[in-house]
Amino acid sequence: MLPFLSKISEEKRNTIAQAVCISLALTVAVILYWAMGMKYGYWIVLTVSIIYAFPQQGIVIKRTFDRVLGTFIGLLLGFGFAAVFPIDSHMLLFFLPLIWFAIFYINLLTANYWLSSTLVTLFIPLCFVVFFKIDVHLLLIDRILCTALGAAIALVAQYAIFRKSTGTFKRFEDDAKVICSDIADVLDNIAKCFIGEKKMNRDLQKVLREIMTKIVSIENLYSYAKYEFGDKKKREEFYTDFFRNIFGTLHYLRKLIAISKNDRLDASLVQLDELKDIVNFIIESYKYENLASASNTKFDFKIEKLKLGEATPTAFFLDGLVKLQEKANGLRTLIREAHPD
Amino acid sequence: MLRSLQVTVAACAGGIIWVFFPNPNSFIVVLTPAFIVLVAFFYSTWKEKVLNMVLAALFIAFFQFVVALLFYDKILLIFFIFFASLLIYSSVKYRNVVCVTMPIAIVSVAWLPGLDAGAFRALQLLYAFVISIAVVTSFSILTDKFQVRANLIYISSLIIDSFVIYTEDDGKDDERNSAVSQYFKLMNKLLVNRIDVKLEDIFEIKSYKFQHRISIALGKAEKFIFHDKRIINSHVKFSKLASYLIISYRDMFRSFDFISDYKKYKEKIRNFILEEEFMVLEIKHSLLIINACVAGRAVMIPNELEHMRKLKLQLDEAVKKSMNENSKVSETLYGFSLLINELLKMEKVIAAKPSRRLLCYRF
Repeated sequence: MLPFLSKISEEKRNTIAQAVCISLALTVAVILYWAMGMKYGYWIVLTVSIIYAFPQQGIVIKRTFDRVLGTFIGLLLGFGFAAVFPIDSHMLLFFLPLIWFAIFYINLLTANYWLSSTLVTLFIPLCFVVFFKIDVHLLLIDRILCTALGAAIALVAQYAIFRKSTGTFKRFEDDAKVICSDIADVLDNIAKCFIGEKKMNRDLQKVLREIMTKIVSIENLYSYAKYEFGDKKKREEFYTDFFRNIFGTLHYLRKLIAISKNDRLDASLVQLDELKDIVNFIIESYKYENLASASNTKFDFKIEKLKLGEATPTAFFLDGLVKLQEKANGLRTLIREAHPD
Repeated sequence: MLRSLQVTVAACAGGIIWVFFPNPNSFIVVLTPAFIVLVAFFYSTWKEKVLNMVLAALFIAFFQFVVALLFYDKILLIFFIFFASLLIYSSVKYRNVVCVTMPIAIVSVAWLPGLDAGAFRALQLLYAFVISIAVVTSFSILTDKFQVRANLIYISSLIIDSFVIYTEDDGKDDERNSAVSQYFKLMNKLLVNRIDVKLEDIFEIKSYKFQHRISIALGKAEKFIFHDKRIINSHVKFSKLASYLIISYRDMFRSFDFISDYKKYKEKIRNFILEEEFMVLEIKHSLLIINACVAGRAVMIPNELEHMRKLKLQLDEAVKKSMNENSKVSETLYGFSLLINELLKMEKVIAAKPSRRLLCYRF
């Protein structure tokens, strides 16, 4: 690695690597457009820039195939449309906002890119026909050619240039670190509230929102990760287990929040210091460095000696802590497997 | 729907300007406002929205101008495209802006070259920016209350569906009749790629699906209601009331985590609460009343849920009695008690006089 690059954070390095990949793809597309001399050759450049609107490896691959498929279907529909309707009619002008609306409505509602690509392929040539009176058949053929070329450039660039840096695992780690640290914060807060040391922190909602935002971010990563190069099955299993585990964690965390909002510690069931130790122990085990560490086994912990048979809010609280510890162990196994060190 | 409308209105407004001032260089004003509006969707506060929309307009204007200027020197232009895109895509903070606006910026390679044309197109971006900011602002003001209420109704319906799933036998199909469930069934088809819908397949337990749905809905609603600063006074009051309701719904949702085993221990619970089926019906009825109030279809009468207070006392007694029983039974009873507590809190919020007037505001 170049010495000046080692000073930059890994996230920034990955972003620069992605930028190199996109810039090269765009430059090649522009050169090809000039070299081919096609009238609508700038669609090659447009295709590359639209495919890279979300520059993650998996989504670039998925969008590339979706765009080609959508354009092909749009082409067939376009020919059908041209055969049925008087294509040079100005009445079509009123269809344009409708199709434009449908493109975004379908895309935002379903996140299905090939469907919206189909509509885009109908929309753009119609625009040209209405405004510039151009032969729709030639236009549609140009469109599919340019889209195929643009898609090929994007796919080759994605495969050949800094492939690893555009993978999702690094971003997953960044988000997972925030989630784990936030879970530890929430746990610390609710434990203090339960033992009566302080009132429920107003920022708790903010932290919980941040956890949810990061989980949604990982959900999006998962949707891209499915299409990345490499072992798809293993990656899918990893994310599935992660989501099951993290939603389980949230389930028990919510229980603990509800108890600490409504009840206080019953000292006859567990001593204050003992509870503090247990909570600190779980907080430690949720720290990402401990979850990712291969050598650490000290967090295999069970609250067996406590009287869990009794059904009081304190017992429910302790039971929730046990379950959280189990979830932390599950997460540790998962993350350690992903990090063979 | 509203977002798609914003994008369409922005493009139509641009189209109208182009129709009145037809010039080969001014075609840029047709689609550019729509792309600038798209940038605003990534941000929740006004400051971020405006700043990033300005950046988007400046970025497109700069690209259009420089490409038109360097058009006759292809080598220089290639270097410019490579290094400019390398620089802007390397920015972590402004990447969203660049990614959305790049298609409009890069298409400048196909437009009329020259200083005049470039400068003219760059100036057209001023129109595009004014259109986009006008569209975003007017939509935000006109649809704010509608969106806040839509969020509340959606969460309220999810909470009712979730309660039905947790408490009623699988044979009953109340859940299938709700509009939200119909929506998810429709969404869960082959053509939908939305990850929040697709991800539900990984959960083996039906109640987990609802937990996931509610968590996401609450997160989105909180982001919209708490983050956006409102200018109009009635909107501020309405969003304040909505934020209380959202917090109450979040607290209520937490009590659901205790009743997930209700169906399993139904018979044992009957030993402590004789009319447990009646209790479930009563809670469901109260949830429906609150839903109707939130939707503006009904008005909460003070102490309308008074009978729930008695039910809560019975439940608290039952929790104490069930201490030596199976802890899950006790936990479930405790969950119902918490749930009723949250219902009573919500009743207070909704029945408060100014709030009642606000909630019945019709659009």
